[in-house]
Amino acid sequence: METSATYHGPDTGCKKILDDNKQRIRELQATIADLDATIQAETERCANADIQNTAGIRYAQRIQRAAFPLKEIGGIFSDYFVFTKPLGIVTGDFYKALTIKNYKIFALADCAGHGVPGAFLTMLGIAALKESMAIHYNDDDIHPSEILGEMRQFVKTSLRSGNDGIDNINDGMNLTLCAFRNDGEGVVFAGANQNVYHYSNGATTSYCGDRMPIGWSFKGDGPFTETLIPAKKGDIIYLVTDSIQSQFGGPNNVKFSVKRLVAMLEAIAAMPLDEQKSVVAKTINDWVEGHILVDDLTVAGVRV
Amino acid sequence: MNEYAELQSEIARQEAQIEELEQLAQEKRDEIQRITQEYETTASDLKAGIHYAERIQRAVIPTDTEFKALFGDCFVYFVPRDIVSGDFYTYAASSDCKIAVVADCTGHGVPGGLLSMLGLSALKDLLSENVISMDLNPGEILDSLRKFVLTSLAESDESDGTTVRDGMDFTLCIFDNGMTHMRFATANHTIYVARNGEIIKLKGSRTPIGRHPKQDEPFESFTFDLQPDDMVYLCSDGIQDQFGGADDVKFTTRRLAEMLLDQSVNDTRTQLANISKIVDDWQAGRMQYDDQTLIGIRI
Repeated sequence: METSATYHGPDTGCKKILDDNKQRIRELQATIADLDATIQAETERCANADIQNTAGIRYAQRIQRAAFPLKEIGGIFSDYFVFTKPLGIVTGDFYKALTIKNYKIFALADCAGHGVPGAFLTMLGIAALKESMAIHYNDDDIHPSEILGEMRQFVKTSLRSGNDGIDNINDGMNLTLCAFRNDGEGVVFAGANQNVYHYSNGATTSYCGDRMPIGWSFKGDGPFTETLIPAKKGDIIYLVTDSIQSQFGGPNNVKFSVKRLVAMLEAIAAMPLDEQKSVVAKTINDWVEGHILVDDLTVAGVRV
Repeated sequence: MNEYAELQSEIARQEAQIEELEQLAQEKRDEIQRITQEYETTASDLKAGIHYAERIQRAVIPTDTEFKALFGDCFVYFVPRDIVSGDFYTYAASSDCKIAVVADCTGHGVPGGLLSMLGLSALKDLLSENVISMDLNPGEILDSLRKFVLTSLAESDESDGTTVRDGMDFTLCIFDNGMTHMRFATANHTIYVARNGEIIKLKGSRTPIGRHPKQDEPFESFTFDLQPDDMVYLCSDGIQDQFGGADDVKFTTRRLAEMLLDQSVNDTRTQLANISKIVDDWQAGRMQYDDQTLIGIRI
């Protein structure tokens, strides 16, 4: 606006400027009203389109809930909690509890990716786990390392992993598998890119899984290893998806880290398990608040 | 001059208001762009995810080339409604037999695709090479698969108590290596055989693989003698249920049987081309109703 330069006297130029400005203000107010209407319309349009886009996925969520229901764990373990924070509507994390002869099994997996493709892999993972368990149905002794190896074979063949064709998928999943002995004499653990934490007598011991996934790896297919955790009745075994330690957050936007994870577990371990779940939920939600969630997150605690 | 000063200050006030309003308008334009962009990012992420899921699914479903390598003279018409599919087909083979499977999971798109992943994975193990032979009871495979589906999908999920009634319709055919006969079982599916200018419909059990009032009744197994030149068709209900034509009605099993009979005299490559065209013409730009799968095998 070059108003001062066009001044020709109070009666002529100024009036005109005043009128022009008034006109301009009216126009702008009208434009803003239009823009407000557009904002509302666009918000509605996007919300509706989003509802349409995700209708199938919301239905798919029901299938996932049916494929690994929480109550299944309750039927096998008497004292446990599972906190899970999916990134999308469906999740790439799954947990599964099973019984087999002399053992109770708890598995927690984090499939590659998240959302729909992650969810597709959960179905593959559940089938791989169930099929592997079927092989050992009559075995007196269970070896989680063998189960992980069998699952890896299943996943790799299913996805045609490692081939150079266009159809092959070299994804897989990270997995923690704990076999709780029914006689209470410890828990056998094997892990694929995931760790497990054992709380006993006020101290937390962490056990590292093998650094390879259930799936194709450029490092090849070395055998998985297993560890007998000397867990006693009343101890707690924590299964955690690896994504938690690498989740950025907090006031300084840093990784959650194993250090904070262990500190969190030690702070809650003496509480009843359902209370632990609330603290875990609060700690993790607070950590992520205002930051971008990078993957589905799951923490499970099971009392021996 | 007093009046002049008043006017000047009024103009200054107006200009300040104009600037404020222009800034506000710009903020609103930015807001609109943000809303649109945010939606588009979400939608395109979602789509990218579904496309990646499609790759995962396609890795698990055999290619038509692999299918042809086993069954020789055959065609595979596989047209999912959405990017991922609730229909799937697969095969298995051992030294004395070959198996062809067509399945149609409840729904389509992502939920259908999730179920198909579950079904395919379970089936893969049920049909491992050391298990299958001509002595295998196809009905028992369907029984095992049903057991897997029922135990995999809990009766109700804890959040709202609703039952997941999903499952799959299914066709499983076991052919001897000489293709002289086949043993088959179906769940809510019909197999069509074109022979000497006639269509023979083979109907197995009328129950799905999933939760059903008759879920405790075993699936029946049948044996069917084949003749050279027979065309055996395995299909989902996607084509017959497709709305279209002049009166916007379903294609129906009647038209499906007629189409298969007409086409059965052609070589399988021509059949595939013709069937694609017939179904396309029927749909004539309408929405595809469900996933469509049709496999034709020349004996």
